[in-house]
Amino acid sequence: MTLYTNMPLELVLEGINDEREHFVEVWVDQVQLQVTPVAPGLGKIERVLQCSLEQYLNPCYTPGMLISYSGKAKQN
Amino acid sequence: MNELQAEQQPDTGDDKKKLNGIVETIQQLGQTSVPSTAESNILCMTIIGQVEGHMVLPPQNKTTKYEHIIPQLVAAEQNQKIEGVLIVLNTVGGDVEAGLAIAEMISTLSKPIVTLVLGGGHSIGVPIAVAGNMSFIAQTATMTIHPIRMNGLVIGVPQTFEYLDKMQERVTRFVTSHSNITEEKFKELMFKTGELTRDIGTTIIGADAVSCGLIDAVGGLGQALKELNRRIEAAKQQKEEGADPS
Repeated sequence: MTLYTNMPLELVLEGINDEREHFVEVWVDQVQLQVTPVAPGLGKIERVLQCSLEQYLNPCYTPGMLISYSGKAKQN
Repeated sequence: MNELQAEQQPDTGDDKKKLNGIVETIQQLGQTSVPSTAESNILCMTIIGQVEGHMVLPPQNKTTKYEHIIPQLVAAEQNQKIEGVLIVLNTVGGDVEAGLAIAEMISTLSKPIVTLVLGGGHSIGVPIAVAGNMSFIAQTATMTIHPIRMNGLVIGVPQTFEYLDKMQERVTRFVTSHSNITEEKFKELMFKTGELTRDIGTTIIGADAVSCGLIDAVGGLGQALKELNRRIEAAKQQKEEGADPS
């Protein structure tokens, strides 16, 4: 991986080795998402793993959005 | 009277859900309602912060994830309701592979695509900024052109140098083939000394980017949208003429 940025690399990569919250994989309306749990049943979307093409244009599934989910979440 | 009371009393879970939605909107957007989204024929995509590639960056970085942008571009190409794409950039650079992947996707889209640099379009933001059919830069926006720095393990100096040189060549080739800047001028800007305190390179502001041929015009949102709509109309006309057998 090569970073090409005008920001100092020590600022960009600060804390890269810190322990981070684990992601969980959830299904919401036929969209598989990787989320970081922020509260029971509520998560912040990290990335969309699987969905139909048009769902990528749905702003609700943009990374960073909060989403409520129910059911079984698979921990990564 | 009874009717009035019935109207005032929130009854089922639906109302509760609605109320939660309003509270969430206030928390996230600072207001109770968002403007209704009328169907638009233009898709606006923003490239902000760091372009995140193969590695998840620490949480202090604002990132644009390429694994989301790429399928979005595919969806835009496939969706018949979308007739044009506006790319708004305010990025500090990021992963070379991810940035070039986005730039290549943008440049090969068959629909009209206009890019607008606001604030900054630095480092790997430069190839993305020039990838569209036409590029605009705000009067005060800046672009930093500098060499790729080493981040990682140096196993052999000559090999590492050659690798970095090849990475730079990829960026240079893309930028020079998608804009009016010459290779000599781009490399001159890239390796200039004495302008950046921490690094070799150049910062170009608004009109300077246009005068060196990197960006097509100085302008803001109005100009960019006007140009995009003009190109959409031209594309439609071309399609009609092509379909017309006479």
